[in-house]
Amino acid sequence: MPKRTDEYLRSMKSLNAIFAASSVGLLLTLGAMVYDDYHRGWKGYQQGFQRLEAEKTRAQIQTEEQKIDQAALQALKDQLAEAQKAAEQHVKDLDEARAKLRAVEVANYRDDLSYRTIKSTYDARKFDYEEALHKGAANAAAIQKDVEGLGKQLEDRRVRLLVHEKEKTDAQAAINALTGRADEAGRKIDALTAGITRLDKKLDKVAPSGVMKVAIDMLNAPLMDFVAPTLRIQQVVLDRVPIDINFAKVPRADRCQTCHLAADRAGFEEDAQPFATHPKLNVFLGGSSPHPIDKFGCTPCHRGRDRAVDFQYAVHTPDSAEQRKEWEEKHDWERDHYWEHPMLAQSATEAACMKCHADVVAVPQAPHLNRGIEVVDRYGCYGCHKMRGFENRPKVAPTLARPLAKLLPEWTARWIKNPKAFRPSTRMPRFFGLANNQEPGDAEREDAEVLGVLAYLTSKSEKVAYPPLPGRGDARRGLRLVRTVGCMGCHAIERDEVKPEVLQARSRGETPDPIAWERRFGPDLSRIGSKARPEWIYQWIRNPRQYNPDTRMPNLRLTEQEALDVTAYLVSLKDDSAAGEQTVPPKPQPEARDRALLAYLSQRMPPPDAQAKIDAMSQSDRDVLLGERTISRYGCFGCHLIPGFEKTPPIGTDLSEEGSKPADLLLFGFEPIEHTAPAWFLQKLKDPRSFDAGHQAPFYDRLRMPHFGFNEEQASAVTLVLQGLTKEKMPKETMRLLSARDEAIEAGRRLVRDYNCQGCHSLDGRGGAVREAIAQNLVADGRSEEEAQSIAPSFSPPILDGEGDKVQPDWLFSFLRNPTPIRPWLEVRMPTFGFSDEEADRLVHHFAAREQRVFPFQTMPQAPPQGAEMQAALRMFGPDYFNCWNCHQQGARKPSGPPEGWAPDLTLAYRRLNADWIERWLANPQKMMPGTKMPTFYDPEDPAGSAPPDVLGGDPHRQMKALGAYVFTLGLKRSGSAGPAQP
Amino acid sequence: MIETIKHAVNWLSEPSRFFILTVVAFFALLFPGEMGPAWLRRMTRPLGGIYRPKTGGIAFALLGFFFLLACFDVNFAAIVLKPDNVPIAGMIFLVAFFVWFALQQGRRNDALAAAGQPIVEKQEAGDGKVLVWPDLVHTEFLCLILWTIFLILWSIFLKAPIEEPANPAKTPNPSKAPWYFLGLQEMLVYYDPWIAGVLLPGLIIVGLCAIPYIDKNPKGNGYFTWKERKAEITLFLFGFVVLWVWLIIIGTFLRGPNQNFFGPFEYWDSHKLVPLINIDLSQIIWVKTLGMALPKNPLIREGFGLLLVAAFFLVPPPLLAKTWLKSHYEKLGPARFHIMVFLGLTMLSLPIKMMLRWTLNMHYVVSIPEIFFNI
Repeated sequence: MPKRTDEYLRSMKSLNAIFAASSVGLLLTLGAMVYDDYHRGWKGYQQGFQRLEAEKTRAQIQTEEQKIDQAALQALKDQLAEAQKAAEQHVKDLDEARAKLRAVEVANYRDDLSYRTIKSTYDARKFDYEEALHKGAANAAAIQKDVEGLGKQLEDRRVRLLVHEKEKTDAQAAINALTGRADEAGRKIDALTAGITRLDKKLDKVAPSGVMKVAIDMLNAPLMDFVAPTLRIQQVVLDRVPIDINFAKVPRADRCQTCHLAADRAGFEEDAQPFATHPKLNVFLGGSSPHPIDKFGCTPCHRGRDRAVDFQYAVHTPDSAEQRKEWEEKHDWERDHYWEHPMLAQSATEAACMKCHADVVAVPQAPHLNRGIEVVDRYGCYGCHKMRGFENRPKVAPTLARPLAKLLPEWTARWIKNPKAFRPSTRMPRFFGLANNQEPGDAEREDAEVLGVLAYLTSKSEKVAYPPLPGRGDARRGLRLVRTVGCMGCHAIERDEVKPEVLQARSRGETPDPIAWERRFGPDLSRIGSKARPEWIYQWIRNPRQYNPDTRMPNLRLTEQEALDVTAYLVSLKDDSAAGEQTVPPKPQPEARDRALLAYLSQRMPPPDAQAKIDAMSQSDRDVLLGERTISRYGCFGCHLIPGFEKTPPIGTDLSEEGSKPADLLLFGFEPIEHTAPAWFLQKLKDPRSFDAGHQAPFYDRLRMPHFGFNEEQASAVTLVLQGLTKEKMPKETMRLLSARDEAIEAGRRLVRDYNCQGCHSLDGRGGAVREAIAQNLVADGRSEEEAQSIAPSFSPPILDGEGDKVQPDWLFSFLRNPTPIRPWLEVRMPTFGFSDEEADRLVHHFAAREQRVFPFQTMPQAPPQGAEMQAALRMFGPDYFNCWNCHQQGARKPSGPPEGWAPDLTLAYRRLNADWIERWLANPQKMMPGTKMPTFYDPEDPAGSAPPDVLGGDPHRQMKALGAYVFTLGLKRSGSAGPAQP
Repeated sequence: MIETIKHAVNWLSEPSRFFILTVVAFFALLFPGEMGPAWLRRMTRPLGGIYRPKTGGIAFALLGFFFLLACFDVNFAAIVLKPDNVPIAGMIFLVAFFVWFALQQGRRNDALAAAGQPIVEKQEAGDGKVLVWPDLVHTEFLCLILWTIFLILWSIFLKAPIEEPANPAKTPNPSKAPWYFLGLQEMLVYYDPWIAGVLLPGLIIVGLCAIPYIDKNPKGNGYFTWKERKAEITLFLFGFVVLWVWLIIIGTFLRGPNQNFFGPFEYWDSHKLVPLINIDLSQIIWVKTLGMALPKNPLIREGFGLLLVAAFFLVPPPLLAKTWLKSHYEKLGPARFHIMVFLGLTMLSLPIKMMLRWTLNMHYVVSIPEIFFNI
């Protein structure tokens, strides 16, 4: 085309300039595009991890090198050098030998080829011959000659090959003779440096250099990385636990390991995230752990966005304000509102255990979650809120069916108004006087409501009146009884046990509760004299089920005088708080009451009708009506059994799927907390009505949840439980399925928890709280503090770990139904819990299942020791050897030693103990029951050396057998030993 | 100080005020110094200066500058810099520029024609030939390269948003249509869904299709002009800029959670509650004014509304044919004229209905739910 510059619309020069510039621009833009597509944060992390691994490998190589015995290595190297020098002297011979070998190999190869060629021809001809023979052809004979000829050649080659084999072996032997020593030395050196060689290989793989490095960089380059990149996404696909994205369930594809490369590899525990090893690999992620990574991945426990490979996109959740700031600076972190299952903060990970570990009392390896479950159990959250896993739990608070029989009238109104003012450790929350009821007129209305509730309860109470006390009790004896007979396993009298400053610090939330959790099972008795009628106390402690058939308080089998003493003491514990500290008792407020009633009734009928209805009621009827409305509004029947409300459904929100609730469905009001569900839960638990601040509403529309006074630890534990209650439905095969044995253990454990066995007994590693009170009592008896602490276990209820292994199940069953003394010197006594057959059976099964014992029937050996065994046993029992009667009770006869060492009655053994247990016990008491006072007669590591040499030939096993058999004869009438047989 | 300005802007951008402002500005900028009483003409005459390129450029730059300043406000930035909305913000500038350009070029040509000189297109045309290569293709190719660069950079820096997996139990709030339908969604606020979703969009399309058959003005083919096509340009720009584009802007930037109105600097509070009880014309007349119960017969009940609607569509055409639009009537003939006036009246009915809603809280002029007929 001719260039006609004057006819162009625009100057070609400028157009060309633009063309050039824009082409360069496009090239740069394309480069930017390729970079944007291929630059990924996780690739940087993987490269960082490679560097870390290389560093570690180098460090390992260094340690290995230091470990090698340099002298030995040098000696071997010298050997090798020597041998090589020797070989060099025969270099000519070596060369010859090698040449010979080569020649043999060449010949072998040639002959082998020839052999194979001839063989194939031979086989073909043979076939032809056989065919010809079969057909009866004329040339059969000629073919046969051919075949024979080929056969001869074949044989010749075959023999030649065998000869070559021999020649090869000889030649090789000749060479080895010359180089053998060097080879051997070389092998020894390799063995010594094997570790380093392996690590060097690993280092090559992990930190390639030179050509390898270039090759790998090519493999990871953009557009080439579809072939075999070394930097690639690591994922675990889990079909069984899909992600629910509302319209579909898609398989989970956990890509966390793309950055968290060492999650399931040991050796990186000390490194910073994301390269740190997951804690407790033997429990989580390890190949042999219960949660292997290829079956469980990461997000079923940690939540978050499974398919993300970016820090922000994976919805990591910071664990604290500092961490959040750090992440905002380092990673530009922002809260992601678009993923409905954000990652659990690290301290909240245990919440995820709940969805698979259902039906258990305590989840293993999840202490914070278990604490939360305990708090929920104890405080009875499920009474008002339906919660999955807490259905069919009993009501946590005392029955209000017959309060008139129990309570002193002037106490009840003050209690309802502010329970904690009377008893700071109470579980009953506070309903009145809270921040969202501080408008003018609210205080009067609340007074009217409290009195209304009181009127309602009074009017509906069963008219039970107890007879007056049948005698006088001694408060000092009562004090001693209360401290020693076992009350202090479930109750505390904190006013006498804890200093006032500590109690005040506790109510300010500065210190944890100084009394053990188990001793908060029953109410604190510090001021019980101001609460309960003396006649009621007397009847109650003699037989609790008479007042409340569902109570868990057991019967301590107190005699009449004992009960009178205890009553006298308890009645003396009066409320001594200064008048200023006590709650102002509610005053009658008829106007406020009528206004409140009008407001209630006007919701259904026009105000004049409502007013007329009110005017037609008597004053006490109005109180009762207001009380009924108040109880209805506040849901008291969630915790208490209240007449008239037995079937009423609880008032609280259903919390069974609370962990899945999106934050925007929660009312945050004006509270300045983070806009997340866990932050809301925490705030709600610490101050439930704070979300009403700034809102205007009539009194019946305000928030109703009462104030429990949880401290930070309790509130965050319960928050864990709430976060764990999600709508994820796990398929059966992913959940922890309890075997029959496990179910037996859990069923019994539930009873142990419900009856607070751990208040007195140490079991599962906790409990035995009554020991505190017993130690205090020893101090009061004149012992020093340290002495009292160290001997208190001797005067306390026994540790129950290993009980299933130790006792016969039918004995345990009858003991639980009807306890009898085993250690008669103890002041503390096992109460009668009134277990049903089924409950006792469950407990016995629990203990047996824990120790994997046969249940319920076992064979008891009945062969008493004869002759030599008997003599030996009697001798070992005596004071020259083991001196058993020094400590062990013998029927009615007390042991001869000091009381700190006293041990159970051995005449009960034949009925109580498992025969095989006695021998194992004698062999190593500390292993069976750590901390026991039973002496270790036989050294567990050398029983033969520590056995008495002159008894039964010094054979420890024969001795223990004899002792066990002998103990089994005690208590039987025919053995002639002291003491009648115990039932 | 800044807070006062923000408050003022929020206050002014409330739909009723914003609309009046837009209409006034529209006519003032289209007819500077030509409309209304003398004092109004005096006031608006200086606005004509915007058609000088330098002044226009400065105005444009100022607009961009204030936009940039406004982005420092957290709420403003949250809406405008959202990747979905960046093109719409860009659209504002693009529409403003191209409308200005067309009008400016038109005025330039009018001035040249009035001075007896050849118009710009004629000057540029030369001997009337433009070569395909290089003038067309080369330029196209350069545009292709530059546009590719722009798109690639856009896709790198403005990421397409991915929100949460759809949850049938959780509707997003606000739930907005794509931008090209936001005009219709805004119309839905004022009109019955059938009218706003089917009838009016249908008429828009039909009307646009019918334009070549109605528009008998031979002027303006292939060159910019203003004077020769004032009516046509005004009509079209009113429908496009004031109604369509303006409604999109309202829908994108000023409608927030619960379809509440929020000023550009206002925080999108999903708890905001605005009293909004709208009543039908029949209720206004029968119940509020006359104090009677609503008549049972729908025809009687909606009699006023029906009369009003009939009058609106039947009275103006013959009136206009005899008075203001007499020349058009003669030029177009009755059929075209009436179709044009009908389409124009339908277009006008939208702002009229909007004003009725904002002032009288009127819901429907005619409301016969028995046959799903509401206007």
